[in-house]
Amino acid sequence: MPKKQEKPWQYKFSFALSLVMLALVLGYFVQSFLEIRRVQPVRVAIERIGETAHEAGIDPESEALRRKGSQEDGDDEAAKEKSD
Amino acid sequence: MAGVSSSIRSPWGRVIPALAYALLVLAFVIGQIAAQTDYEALLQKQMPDVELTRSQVNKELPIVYRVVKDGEESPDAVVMAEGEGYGGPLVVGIRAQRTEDGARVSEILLLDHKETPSFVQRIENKYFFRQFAGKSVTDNFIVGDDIDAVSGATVSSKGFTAAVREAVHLGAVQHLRLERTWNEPAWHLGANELILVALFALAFFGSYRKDKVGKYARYLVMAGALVFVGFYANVSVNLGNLAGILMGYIPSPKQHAMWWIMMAGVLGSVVVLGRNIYCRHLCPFMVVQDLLQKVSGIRLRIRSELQKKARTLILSLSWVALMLIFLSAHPALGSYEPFAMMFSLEGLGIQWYILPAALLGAFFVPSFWCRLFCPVGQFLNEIVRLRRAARDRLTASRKER
Repeated sequence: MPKKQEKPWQYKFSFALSLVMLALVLGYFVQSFLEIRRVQPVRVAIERIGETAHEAGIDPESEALRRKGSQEDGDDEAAKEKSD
Repeated sequence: MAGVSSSIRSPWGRVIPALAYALLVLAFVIGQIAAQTDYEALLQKQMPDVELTRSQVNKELPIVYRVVKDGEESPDAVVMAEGEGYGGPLVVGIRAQRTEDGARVSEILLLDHKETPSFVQRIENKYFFRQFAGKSVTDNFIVGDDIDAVSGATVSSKGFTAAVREAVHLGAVQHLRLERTWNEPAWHLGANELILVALFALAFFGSYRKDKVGKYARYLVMAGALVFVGFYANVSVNLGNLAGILMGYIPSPKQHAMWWIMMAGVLGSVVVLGRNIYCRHLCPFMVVQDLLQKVSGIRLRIRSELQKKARTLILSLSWVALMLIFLSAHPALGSYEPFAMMFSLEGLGIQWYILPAALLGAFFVPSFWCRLFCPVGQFLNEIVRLRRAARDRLTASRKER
């Protein structure tokens, strides 16, 4: 029975894929390291709805609703999510 | 095998692992010291127009702050509290605005979290926190009751909600002297938890039965892993989860029963049964790779030398990842796997390239990610290997006697 033919291009291709992946993972590590070194630890500041409402004596719920209405696209998505 | 034994015999074969472990311990200590954040200063910085005065009732989180504006005490209050997310603790600051019948949430600040960035991004993109705006501090703040979780980030949604709940209810009791009219969260063992238990049971069954019935059970588990563990609940196990356990980030079973079932099933199967059930049957990314192979029909081989060095490669990558995790005290930061992103389709920076590259690799090479890069598979297989070695040694010593 003849010996199965070696296919070096297969090895080269899979090796190249591995190298690309390795480079990306190393890149991720660099990105993570830069993230750690970031001075500002607050990652997300959410919904500062209170300030204007508080000063103007507006009910915060209606103020929140008013702001919600001003962002049509986002709110459609949020409403859809909620109904889901 | 000869290579392994010769590397163990050489002096470097002992020095390098010892040095690697020592550096990990050092990174852990440095990370824990550096993680002592002054949240109070952070909170004050975010609210520059008011002066926050700490209430003397609680010395540790949750803490209530009185709000002084223009030299006069405001009826508002700010509460800082900690909740448990999927990756670790998270800290929030809540400002409540006094109303005639109590108080309403007017501002939420996320001061710190250990969640996978893609989960947090998903929560933000879905406007999760808008649900809290204007809610009364006496509301329940329970996911599934008056708060809706974001699908694909359910556990993080529960964590954020728990932190907000703790903060507003403490403020309601301590600052506003309101009576407890809200419901407390109960043990949550619902359909999701039952499905996960059933999947594990079916996976065990399928792994022992080699006949046709076992085969169908395995197919069913694969479908369940992809749909439920992957796309629906997005609770794939990653290096961050395992590192989080080492760092003591263990969520409450009352709120995160899914986490407990997953970890008990995954670690229990390798430690007690000596079988890696998760990688072979329940990992949704494995299923994705298998499906890509079925679609492409291409099965490129990997050079045997590369396959032999894969263990060293994965261990080296895991070491770098753990160093980053321990230094930042943030399990998600070093976790380089594309799982969370795959099933939430939310990612940050270079993650957008890792996922397509992993999928492309799986299209051409069977189990590309698992064989060359997966730290979880390597970790679980190492436990199985150590367990087997310990059992063999025990059996040999018994025979000698």
